[in-house]
Formats: sequence, structure tokens, C-alpha cells
Amino acid sequence: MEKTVLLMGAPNVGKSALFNRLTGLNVRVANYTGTTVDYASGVIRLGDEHVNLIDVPGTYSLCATCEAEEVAVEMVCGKSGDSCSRKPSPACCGKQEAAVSMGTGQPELIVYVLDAGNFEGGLYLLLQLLELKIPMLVALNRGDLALEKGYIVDIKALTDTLGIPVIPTIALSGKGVAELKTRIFDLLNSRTGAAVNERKNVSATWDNVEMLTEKVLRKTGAGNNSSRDKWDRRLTNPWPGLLLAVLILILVFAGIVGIGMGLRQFILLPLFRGLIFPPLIDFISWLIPAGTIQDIFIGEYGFLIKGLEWPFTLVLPYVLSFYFILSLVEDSGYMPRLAILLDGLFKRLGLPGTSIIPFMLGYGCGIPAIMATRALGSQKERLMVTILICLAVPCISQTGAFISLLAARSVAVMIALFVLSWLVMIVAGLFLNRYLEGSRAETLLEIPDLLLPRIDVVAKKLWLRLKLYVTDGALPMIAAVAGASVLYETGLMAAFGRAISPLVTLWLRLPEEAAAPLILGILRRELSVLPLLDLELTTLQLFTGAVVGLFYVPCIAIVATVAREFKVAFAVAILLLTTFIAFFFGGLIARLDIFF
Amino acid sequence: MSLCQEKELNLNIQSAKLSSLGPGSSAMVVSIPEHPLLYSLGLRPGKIIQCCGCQLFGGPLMIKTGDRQVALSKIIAEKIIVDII
Repeated sequence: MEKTVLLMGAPNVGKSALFNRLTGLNVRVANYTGTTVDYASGVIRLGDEHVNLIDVPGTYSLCATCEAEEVAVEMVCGKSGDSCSRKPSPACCGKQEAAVSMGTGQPELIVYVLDAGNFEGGLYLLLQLLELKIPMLVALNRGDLALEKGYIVDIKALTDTLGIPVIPTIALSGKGVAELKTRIFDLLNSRTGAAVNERKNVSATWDNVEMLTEKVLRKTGAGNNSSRDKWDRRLTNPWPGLLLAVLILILVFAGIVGIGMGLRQFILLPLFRGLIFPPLIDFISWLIPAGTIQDIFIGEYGFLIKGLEWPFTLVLPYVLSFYFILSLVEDSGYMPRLAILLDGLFKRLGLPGTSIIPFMLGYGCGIPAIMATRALGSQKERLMVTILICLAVPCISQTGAFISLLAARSVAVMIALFVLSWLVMIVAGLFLNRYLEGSRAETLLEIPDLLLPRIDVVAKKLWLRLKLYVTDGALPMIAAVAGASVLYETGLMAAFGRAISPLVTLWLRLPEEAAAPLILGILRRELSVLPLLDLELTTLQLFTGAVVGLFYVPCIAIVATVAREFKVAFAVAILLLTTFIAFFFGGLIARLDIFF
Repeated sequence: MSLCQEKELNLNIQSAKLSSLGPGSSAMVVSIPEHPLLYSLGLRPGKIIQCCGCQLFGGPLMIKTGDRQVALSKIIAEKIIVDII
């Protein structure tokens, strides 16, 4: 049987960064609590040996406070370990019988990641895990940060007190990873029992946590973090923090739009229109005689033209600019600061400030955003954030489409669209807060240290996004456009348009062809908008179309995610709700002309 | 600004609710409510903490325990009794 190693630790200590270093895989890393909400599994290789490594979501103790932490607790305690979950007592699982904990698939080894820069925070879980008698070694991460704060962890004292090996690492730069790898295999190959027997008996009590801290953590001096502290105070205190938050959000928005437009205008558009399309059109014209078949490839909705132009010149630039800026924001540790600055305002909607994280992710793509709601404290919060994201948070592909559709005609309409989306979210939030059952968890959040984002980490994230976009974004989009071009050229789309024409022409006051995005939009969110580009619409019609596209059903992949994370019935309810709201607001907007 | 000062000091002059601390003051935790995270975040009886002020709009109280920074809602802070130092 394949051997399994668990990578565990408190939240935000660098487990995922270490996982990526050890396995060569690329799971998401960011500087806030709750980045990893599900386990990821990979393989560590050394020579011809290999072993399964599982990156477990961070938790402070074996008592889960949210669904992400439950995943972690289940990994060591097993699903049946009901005594573990959601008990309020601080030491609820400390005395758990090891026999109960050993569910199926007991791990061979735990690699415990301990943050040297936040030493005490990870000790309790470490002691709890030691009680389970599973072989363990400690990766003491971020010694550089500790040193900067004026601390040093006495590795020998830690090893001697606990009786387990401790290896210093710096996951982001890769320091110590090779040694860690060797030690993992050494331990797996040695008699595991021996490793456990050398262990000292230090029970999981808070007294022991303090004893360990006292014994092992040495102060080296005053530390060298005055500028970090200064910026921390500026960004975290209401003054000037709130002002800076507004400025930062404006910068983020301007950066995404500006960088995206630049990439499109100066790089991607010239590349495709100048270098890629002319030979492609020549080739297809030579290969296929003029007619329906040729049109399907290179006609008005030809999928080789739209199918390349839309994903690569319209959407890709914004995907790149969005994730570049998002990486900077999430690696710096600013997200939790924004979350607590806004916590009081969000509370009025029944949401925690930390829900800003899934919302921000949702402006990229709804799927990771809905997954990220697992880190929220209550089921009600999860449901609310999920509904609001499905309803009114456009993904970056759709935002790219909006920019192309609206920015050239009227920037005011573009801004009005976003303002409308926020207003609808606030009203829907107030409504949901009132009528959904459940409560809001009280805010209790550790604020991580501010870090300067590392350019190599950001570049790697961007590269991954690009690859993921090509496989999971562009290819489905090309397929959908191909399907649509068949429907167009065969006249089926027009027939469908006539069938629902009362809704489209009478209620939304759009031309019959505007029925097309309503079908395509079910497949992908941006396709509820992009086909409108080629219709000659008035500004009001553009606004109507954009509003319908914005509130219209989330894409099919999001619906599937919602069904998986919650219930199928809930996904169906979201489909009905979003469709209704889209047509309702669309019809209202179409009638705005009575005011002019 | 005295956003955090809720004037509900206990009769004992030394003891107070954490929510009544002003920015910049230090205190020692005496008792905490049952909550799975408080211990882990360093809010344990006997610990010295520093109040760094409050967020606006009824937002959380910011405190420092050692060099960790924690945001906690006023409702939890009201249930934490501290000795003012």
C-alpha cells in the first residue's frame, strides 16, 4: 500500500508553500488564514522511492471551528471522531483516545510545520498530534521572519524536549527542503516504532505550551521590524487605514483595467490580428470552399476567429492583470486587514469581514470563491456569500467582456453597472440575512505579518493561472463558440430567438439575435455578454444586455460546484433566482428611457 | 476617541472587561469564555495583552498578545475579564 505523509500545522505557517516545494505541484498559497480549504495530495520522490504527501488545511487545534478545519481534523481523527468536532471547550480533543483517532488510512508520518515567526501559535496542535503516537518530524519554517522580529528558536532544545527531529526550512525560498525530504524518507524507512519511542512525554496542555516557549524561544535583540510595524499601524488602524483601503481598492481596480487594456491593445490584439489570423484565413479559404462550412470556421461567428479572438484578446489580458494584482494583495497579508477594517460594515449584512476574501476571489472566478467560503464560520454565511457571488459578482472573463462592450461606448454605463451590482448585493444581503436561518460567527481572527510579495512567487502564480486559463477557460470557450457558430449558421439560433422573442424583444427591447447570449451564457459567464458586441445596439440596449448578463445564471461549472458543496436543490434555486432577477432588472433598465 | 470605552467597569477597580480597555493600555487576562480559538490565539488567563484600539462601525477590537495581532468582536471582548496593569 502507498505510504501517506500528512503535512499539518496551524493556519498560515507555509504548509502549502512547503507542499509545493516538496512535490513540485502548485497548490494555492497566500498570506492569510484559511487559504487551503481542502486537502491536496501529491507525491514526494527521492531516488526511486516515493510517498504520498497530503497538504492538510491549517487548524489551531483538533477542535474544528469551520468546515475547512473539519477536513484537517478528519484526516487524523477519522470521520467517526465525532467527539472532535465543534466542541467549545479549548482542550476538547486533547484527551482523545488514540484508538478512536486511528480511522482508516492512518498516516505513516506527520510533517508538522511550525512557524518560527509565530512560534507559540503552533505548539498546542503539535502537542495534541504527538499524543496520537504517529511518527512525526517538525519543519521549523520562516526562521528568517523570527530573526527579523528579534527571536531565535533553539532547535536543539526543541528536539531534546520533544524527542522528535526538527529541520529548519524556509519554504518560499526552498531552503532546507532537500534536507527535509531526506529526513522524511529516513524516518519512513527506519523502524517507525523506534522514532515514536524516543519521544518525550509532553502532554497537550497550555502549561506545556508556555513551558516550551520559555525553554526554546530566545530573544536576540530588539528586532528589525520598525518599518513593518509602521505600515502595519497605518494599514490596520481606522485612520488612515480606511482612507488607504479606498485608495488601494481604486488602485487595484485601475491596475486591473489599465494593465489589461494595455496587454490587449499593444500585445495580444496586434499579435492575433496581424500575425495569426491572416495566414489562418488564407489557409481555411484554400482548404474549404466558400459556403456554410467555411462560415462555421471563419465567418461572422466563425469559431476560429471569435473562438480565438474572444478568449485570447478579450479575456486573457484581464485574467493576467487580475491575477497579477490579486497575488500582490494576497501575498502581502493585506486581505485580513481589509477584512477587519470592513468587518463592522459587513456585520450589518450579517456577514463577517473575512467574506471579503471569497468576494475578491469571485471577481476572478466563482469556483475558488465558493470553495473559499468553507473558511467562514457558519453555514448561513457560506450560503449568503455563495448566493451573492452567483448573483452579482462577475468573473474576470465577464468583466473583460463588459469592458470591451461598454468602456468604448460609455465609461459612465460601465461604472453604473458595477454600482448597480453592489446595490443589488447589499439589498439581497439584507434580505437574506433576515430570512435565512442561522447566525453569524463572532469575529476572531489572527492578523498575519505584512510581507513583501516575492516576485518569483507572484510570477509562478501567474504562470499557473495562464496554464489553467488555457485548459479550463479558453478551450471550453472555444468549444462553446464552435457549438454556437453551428447553431448560427444553420439558423437554429434564429429559430430559438423567435421562440423566446416576446421576452427578448418586448420585455428587454433587444433585437431577436440577443437571444443567443442567453443560451451561451449558461455555458460560460462571459458568453452572456460577448455576442452583444457584434449587434448594433443603442447605449441603453447595451446597458440592458449587460445587466441581464451580470445577474443571469452563473456558468455551468459554478452551478456544479454549488451542487457539490451544498445541495442540488440549492443550485436549482440559484438558477431560478438569478434568471428571475436578471430579467426583472433587464426589463426595468430597458424602460429607463422614459426619464430622458 | 473612546469608542471602546463602555464604562461598565466592575466594582473591583483593577478588573474590567476587555472591551472597556482604551487604546494603548495593557492588561492581564483573568478569565475567558469558552471558545475553541481564544486559547490558541494567545488569549489565556495569565497572559499580558495590549489593546490597540477599535475598528469603526462597531467593528472588532484589536489586541496584541506577545507579537501576535488579533481582531476580536466586542461581544467576545465583553466576556473576557482582565486586570488592568
